[in-house]
Amino acid sequence: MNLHLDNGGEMNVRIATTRNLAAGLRDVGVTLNTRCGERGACKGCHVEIHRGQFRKNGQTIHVYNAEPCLERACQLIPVDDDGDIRVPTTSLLETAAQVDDAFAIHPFEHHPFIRKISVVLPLPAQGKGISDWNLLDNILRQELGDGELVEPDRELLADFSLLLAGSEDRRLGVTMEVRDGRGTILSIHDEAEDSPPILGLASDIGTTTVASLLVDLRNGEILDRASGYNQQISLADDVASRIDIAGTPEGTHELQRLVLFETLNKHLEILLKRTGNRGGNVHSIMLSGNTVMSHLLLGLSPRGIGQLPFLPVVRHYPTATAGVIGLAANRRAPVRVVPSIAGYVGGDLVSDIYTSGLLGMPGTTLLVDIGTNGEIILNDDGNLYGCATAAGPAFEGAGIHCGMRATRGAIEHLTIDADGTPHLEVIGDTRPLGLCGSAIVDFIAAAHHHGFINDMGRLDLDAVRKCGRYTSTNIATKDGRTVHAFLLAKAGESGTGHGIIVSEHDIAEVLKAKAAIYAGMKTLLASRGKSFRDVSKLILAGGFARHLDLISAVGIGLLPELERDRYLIVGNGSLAGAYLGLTEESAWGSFRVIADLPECIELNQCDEFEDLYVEALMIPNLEEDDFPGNHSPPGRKEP
Amino acid sequence: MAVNEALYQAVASGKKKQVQQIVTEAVERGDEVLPLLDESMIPAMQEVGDKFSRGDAFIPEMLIAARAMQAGVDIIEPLLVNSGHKPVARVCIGTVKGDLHDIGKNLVIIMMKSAGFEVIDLGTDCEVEKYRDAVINQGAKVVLASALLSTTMTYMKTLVDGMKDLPDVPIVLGGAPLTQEYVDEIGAHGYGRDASDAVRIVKDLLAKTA
Repeated sequence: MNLHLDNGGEMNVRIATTRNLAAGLRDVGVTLNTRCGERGACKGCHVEIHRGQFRKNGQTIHVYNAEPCLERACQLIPVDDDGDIRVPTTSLLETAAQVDDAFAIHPFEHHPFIRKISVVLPLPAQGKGISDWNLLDNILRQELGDGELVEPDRELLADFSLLLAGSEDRRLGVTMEVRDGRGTILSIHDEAEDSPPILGLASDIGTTTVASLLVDLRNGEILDRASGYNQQISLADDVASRIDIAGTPEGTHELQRLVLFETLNKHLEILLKRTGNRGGNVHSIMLSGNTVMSHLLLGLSPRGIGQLPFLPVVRHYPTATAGVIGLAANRRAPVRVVPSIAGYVGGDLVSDIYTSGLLGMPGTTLLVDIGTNGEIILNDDGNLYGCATAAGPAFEGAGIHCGMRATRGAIEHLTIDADGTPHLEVIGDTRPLGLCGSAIVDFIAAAHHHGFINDMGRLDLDAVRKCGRYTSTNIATKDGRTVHAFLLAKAGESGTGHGIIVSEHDIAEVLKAKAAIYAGMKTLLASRGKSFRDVSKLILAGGFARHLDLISAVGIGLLPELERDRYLIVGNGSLAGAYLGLTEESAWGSFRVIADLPECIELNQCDEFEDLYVEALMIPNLEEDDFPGNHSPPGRKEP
Repeated sequence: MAVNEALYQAVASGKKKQVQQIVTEAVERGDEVLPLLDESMIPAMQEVGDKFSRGDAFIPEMLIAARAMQAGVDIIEPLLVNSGHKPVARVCIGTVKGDLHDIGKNLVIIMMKSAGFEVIDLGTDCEVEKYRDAVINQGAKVVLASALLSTTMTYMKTLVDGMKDLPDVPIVLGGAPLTQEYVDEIGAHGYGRDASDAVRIVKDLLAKTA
């Protein structure tokens, strides 16, 4: 099979005829954006077929000496190994994802719990029961204030012995982790030779993306950042599919390998290279993620989370070492995973709770992490309640006709004039390739405000036609129905050669997602006899919330209408939690406490959830009392 | 009695409170309730379903209309027991074991009712026994089952296998992760792509067995 890439590259590769073309291309190193999980529901893996024979939905398509056709690679099974295919750059899975790794934390005192101690081992006269280790042990215990020192293993003693063998003045540097007065030696080096830095790695392990920080543990300084896709994405897009794959030992092992070796070790490699450090300098690793990711990091099968009663194997994870699980750091470096609250409320939420200061907030406060799964925590006068709500991937641009992640070329924000003229804000200031979630929210809010969309999310076709913005499209359903759409950028204005549109089907997808989040919050509040009126602080965590325009979010009814100062946006609280876990001695203990606090409810078992969900499907809501329009700035809401 | 235009519009546009008000008033006046259902509410819901099938309406609109319809049905249904109302057939529906999602299932229920079926709602997290009981002891002629998670979808095979000794009762499956291929593979009788489609499949299967 001949592959033609947009950068002029050509490849002749053998492609499997037993699997779909997207899977076959992945095998030869050409990874397409199969963001819908190879369901044929998006156009992420579009390829241009110039020649070849394929099976598609049980039928055979031939392309010979004809016009090339665009097809979803995941829906094609090659009949043979012969053919010519052009792979557009827009269909390649980018290795450099745009990841939101910004966060806000309160000022904190830096209490490093990893410290380096310089010692000179004496050479005493021979005596009863004395060894080099006894001498070091005595000195370190004194340093710990008569604390306990963990017994050395054979590898540590081997290092120790070789250092002594090569040292003239028996001057050693010992790097030790000290927690609760208990010391664990992480490394020993020759003080005369060098004084290596003491580094730590903090990572937020998301289902889609992973963000990492390289931290100097002596002063808490963030030396560098790295981020990218969680490479598990090459096997499956969503959490449920990952759980499916992890149903077998091989599947669990492969997912663990992808996140540790293909994702985290790649981050380590980049970070160490850029800062001129060695893996051996990394002495502590703190990872924060949802419960499924946390399980997979440690090679635990999360199968039980996939169905009622959604049980994780454990919530408080054992501390591993880098050497045992295969991370490219000091092999004795402890690898800690932030404990989980429940099957669908993970350590990322523990991090969010800790870093946002939710626990110390008086009255009724709410924290919501908007993602594929929206997790919500309610602090009701010191008692915590939690739930998860299935929003689906629409906010990440998946399942949306022109949807894409927030990478270069994505429309991030937009406004629409009363005459229907759109103004687009594109990441990277290039021609638009598609829209990311925040822009679709802007679109629905603005188009609804100007009357191009009614309360049900349907386009006013006359109004849209009158301003020349009407188009239609065949959506990615199995029967290829034609749906109405609003044209944001004409083919000539876009970077794809096709128009950038928002269809009624796209709007419906976003309405389902926002209804799940809004109804989830309202149901959780109602379960404690509270309403949004009682909420003194609404904390928004997660990368998406940082991009989100609050006025648009309230405009479509994703978020409740509260005064602006009641909103607190904390950004990537999961990464912030991992960072604090590395640098603040008390953080780990707090994580363990927080993970046991929330009482989680199952929304699908709450009678009112379905009603509230259906009400929230309308723009902004069927329940008009929720959105009186008092807190929208002038000009954005009809009188 | 002709179509009650106000009721028709209230259902089609999802105005739950209006539906409740119109139906309650009619009941209090002593009007016959069956025509309200047959001539106004059901046609309204069917119109929404038809629009959905054409790509002219979407899930949110369907759910909003279905909720309004349900509010009316809740008032009318108890009154139908003694009215000699004959349903097309009795069917049962439930979300499979391990799964709690029921919004999609409830939409199928209202579409089935709108097509004149009597529906036994088995709820969520249903084991095979529950479906069997509905067939054997409650006379359900068709079994409908849904799953929203790819992790719970696998229970459908357990369901199909567990119903093998009742070959006259068709099993129709639906839910986001399902495909026709999967349904065929595990040997179920029908796949409802969406709520409207499910009704059509059930009708077709019953016509075949009749």
